[in-house]
Amino acid sequence: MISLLLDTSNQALSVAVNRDGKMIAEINTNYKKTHSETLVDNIQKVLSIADIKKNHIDRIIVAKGPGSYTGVRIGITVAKMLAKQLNIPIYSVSSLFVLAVSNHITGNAVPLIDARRGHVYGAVYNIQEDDYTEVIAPAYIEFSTLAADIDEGVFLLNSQEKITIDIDEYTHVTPRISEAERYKKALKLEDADQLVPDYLRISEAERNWQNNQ
Amino acid sequence: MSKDIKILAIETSCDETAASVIQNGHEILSNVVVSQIDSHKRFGGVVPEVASRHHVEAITHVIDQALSDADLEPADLTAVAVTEGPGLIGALLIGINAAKTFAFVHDLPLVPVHHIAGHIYAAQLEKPLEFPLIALVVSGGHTELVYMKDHMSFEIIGETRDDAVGEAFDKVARVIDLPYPGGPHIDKLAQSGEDTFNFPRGLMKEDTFDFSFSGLKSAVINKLHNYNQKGIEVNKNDVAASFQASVTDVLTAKTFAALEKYDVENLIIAGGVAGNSEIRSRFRSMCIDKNINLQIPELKFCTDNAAMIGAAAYHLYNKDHLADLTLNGRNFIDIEEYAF
Ligand SMILES: Nc1ncnc2c1ncn2[C@@H]1O[C@H](COP(=O)(O)OP(=O)(O)OP(=O)(O)O)[C@@H](O)[C@H]1O
Ligand SMILES: [Mg+2]
Repeated sequence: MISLLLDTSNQALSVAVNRDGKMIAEINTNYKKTHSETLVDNIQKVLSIADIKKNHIDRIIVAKGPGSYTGVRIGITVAKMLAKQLNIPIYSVSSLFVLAVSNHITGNAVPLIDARRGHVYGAVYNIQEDDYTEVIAPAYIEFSTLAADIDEGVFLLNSQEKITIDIDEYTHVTPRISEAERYKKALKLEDADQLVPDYLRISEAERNWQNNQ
Repeated sequence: MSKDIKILAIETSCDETAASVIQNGHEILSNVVVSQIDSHKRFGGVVPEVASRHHVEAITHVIDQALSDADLEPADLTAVAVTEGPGLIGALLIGINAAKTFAFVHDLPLVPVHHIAGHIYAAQLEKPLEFPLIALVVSGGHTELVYMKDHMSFEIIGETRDDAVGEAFDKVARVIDLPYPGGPHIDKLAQSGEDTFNFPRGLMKEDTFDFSFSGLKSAVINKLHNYNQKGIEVNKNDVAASFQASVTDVLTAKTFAALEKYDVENLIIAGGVAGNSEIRSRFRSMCIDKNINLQIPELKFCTDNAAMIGAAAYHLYNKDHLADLTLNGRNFIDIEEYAF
């Protein structure tokens, strides 16, 4: 089975082709160039490197957030369109889970995405070789609150993104979307038409509006 | 094999998610528009982040619908067109990435389109454009007089120095407590009002084709404030009619002066404000008097839609103006640079 996997939730981009769950080609970048410009082009490139024709793709796996609103939307939009136009199923996976499994660590992984104002998008997963348990589900949370809840675990953060939270020790991570497919439980079958990003936050305008009601 | 050019066009520059299939630049095989206005109303204007979120929700539905209404398969299409800009960047990116993916999967050429060129080419859905022409673009974000000597050739000969007309309509509507977007509501109230206030006509006496509407807007606001302080009840219908009369006077005066100076007999009025009944009727009767060939698109093609993008894309496709898969959105694109 051929899977095309994509993650553009944050600054880094990860696009991969897996055969039967194992990576045969992957493009990873971690620099400031908009995913809007590069994603579809990189999909074409990764398929060509893997020598896979687009109509041989059996399914799409997309990181659905949390992360940069725009980044996540680009990934989701392209993934939805691919699934619809190729007429294949689409699966989503949490962008935090992708970070948790990208460094091959076992035990408690604490993937973090800096969300400014002392907050993070974070989760805690206990990762084993081919299985995992979700200890704390993905949330938008004050970093100090999350940190206080964790007895042991490795904080994972992309050191090349702007870090505003107060954190001394962490391991650098960039998403490797090819790593997520092994964890079948983490993949959720979606309806391509209905699929929307997991922003974990409503927009600021809606928040203000709700507060004024 | 037929030589008909069938273009799937996608438009997401603001608060409408739209897709359409246009054949040979003017035959509308389908035209789907999902408006987000009901969602943005509560904020009193379009909120970019909210708009982007709605586009993601609607995009695949809208494209499917456009194809099924046209009774076409992707293999029947010649090209995919999409609004490149100007517009809200986050909103544009949804249409652009959807269009790029569609073009990639089905191996179709990708045609990037300037949104305002689209507004102008809405006129072509009715009948072919005749050149040279002048287009008066009056929308939510633009007010300009554009001279076109041929297809896809644009020269801005006058533009607003401050507010766009649509913006002025919406701001004035807000001060008289009309819902967003206010343009159509002012239009309606004005029908049973009279120009009793005689508000200023911006830049009327100056030798320029530029426009200014902020003075008019302030005059309306000041007048209302004044009445309010004195406890005088204001007749909103008259406010609407007076405001609209001022706008129409300015638009007609500048446009006819431009037609005369450039010796042009073809006029197009484009953009959402071209839906205004007084603007339509005043231009119609003046054009008859002055022997000007006037084209105003049908109401539903004045506001944002994808049919107009498909109409413009036809010429860009013929001129081989294509983009590759790295196409990105641009929140501002000078239309004069968009000449091919
Ligand atoms: N009947 C009407 N009378 C006056 N204004 C109107 C009428 N109908 C629509 N409008 C105005 O048209 C504007 C919307 O037009 P349109 O959709 O072309 O603008 P936009 O797409 O937001 O801006 P742009 O095309 O410049 O990016 C709004 O300001 C609205 O109030
Ligand atoms: Mg518009």
